Amino acid sequence: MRFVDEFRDADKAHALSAKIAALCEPGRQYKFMEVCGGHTHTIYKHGLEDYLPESITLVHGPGCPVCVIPMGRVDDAMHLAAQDDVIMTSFGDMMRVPGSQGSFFDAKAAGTDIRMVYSPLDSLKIARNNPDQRVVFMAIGFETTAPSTAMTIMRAAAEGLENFSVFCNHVTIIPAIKAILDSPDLRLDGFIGPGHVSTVIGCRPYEFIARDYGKPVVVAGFEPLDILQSIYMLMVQLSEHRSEVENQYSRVVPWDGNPVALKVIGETMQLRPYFEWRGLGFISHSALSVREQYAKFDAELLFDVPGVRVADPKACQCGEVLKGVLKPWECKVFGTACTPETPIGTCMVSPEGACAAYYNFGRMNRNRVAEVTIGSRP
Amino acid sequence: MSVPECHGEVCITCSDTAVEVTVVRLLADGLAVVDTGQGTEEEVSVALVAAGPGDKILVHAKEAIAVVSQR
Repeated sequence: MRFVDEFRDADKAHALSAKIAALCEPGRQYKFMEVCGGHTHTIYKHGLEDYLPESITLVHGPGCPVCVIPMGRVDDAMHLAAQDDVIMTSFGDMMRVPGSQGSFFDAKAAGTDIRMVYSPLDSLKIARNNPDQRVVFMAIGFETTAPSTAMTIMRAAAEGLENFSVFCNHVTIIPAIKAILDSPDLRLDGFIGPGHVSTVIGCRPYEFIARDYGKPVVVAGFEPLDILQSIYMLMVQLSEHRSEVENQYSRVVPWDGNPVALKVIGETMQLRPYFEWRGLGFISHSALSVREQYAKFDAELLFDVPGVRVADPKACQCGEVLKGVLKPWECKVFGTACTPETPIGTCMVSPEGACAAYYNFGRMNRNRVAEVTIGSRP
Repeated sequence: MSVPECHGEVCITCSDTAVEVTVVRLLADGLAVVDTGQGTEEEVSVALVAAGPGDKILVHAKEAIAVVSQR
């Protein structure tokens, strides 16, 4: 298949692997964070860690939108969904995220009207077809998803829809990266930058990482060779004592992003003063709310939202996993009490979550040799 | 209305990973019919990109966020 096979070529992967190994300084340990959950998924699915020398560690960052939603926001959404005349609509992954009183799936099984959608546009259709009910869209995601929500709000306004609103939980990636850089827990040597978030925000927002923190950033695609090449590009920068932002994924990511998408986000949403991230705590200016101009589409204003902060279950160590302090399998409940079927923590919910990705693809043989997946795919 | 489910390994709507599709024809109101490459057609929004029939676009949550290649 065009654009797939080229990026899964086993010979090229081995060649890149050798070039990466050749750049490792003896005795030095390297830690790179892949910010995006999509990259985490690719790394585990294709066993990419087996293509890296032992001195390179990949740390899995907070770029899984489901994983960073705190329990309190899930409880708020459940409260909204429980209103008599409300139809709650949500992306599939969000359905299994546990709140303190269970998940959307649990509530749906108990009779609450919660419907799974692929897009906020689908929520809009549900609103048109159910004029006597109030339809709320559970908006989650980074800048990749925010344009879709923004356009939907604008479409709802243009149509004059009175029964549609958004429970906005959109987050922005840059403040989270900054929080990680400022965290004393972690020493990183560079970042594999998110691919599709960058189609929207471009590469410039990462420049402070290279300039102020002296860490290289390479925006990467999602195929195995994309990620291996990005690690190679990071290693080249380190070996040349450079810290710059580079774009490995230039076939998709424009350096300046998508200005039209940024404009509609800016028109419909504004930065919150602060927002709680699961595992990372409160981060200032890290999330979006609906702008006052579109207040009649803001579920937080239309409904009485409890807004109670809920602590994570004690056994759950998602916070440490999200910060990259713990590997998924080092969590006390990984693979025993916490599995994709019965997740305790959010990292086990989404296929993008580090724990679910590791559970699905990596847990059987942590030290397997590099002979699987790449090159053997149909 | 049929209820969509997440069957794939990667949730196309929730993750950072968008999907590549081909524009079949443009509709009114910034919408378009696209070929998903899986033998199905879908209606998505192309309001944020300059795309026409034959162009490959990157779609996330049924919103095109980038043009990958133009015909």
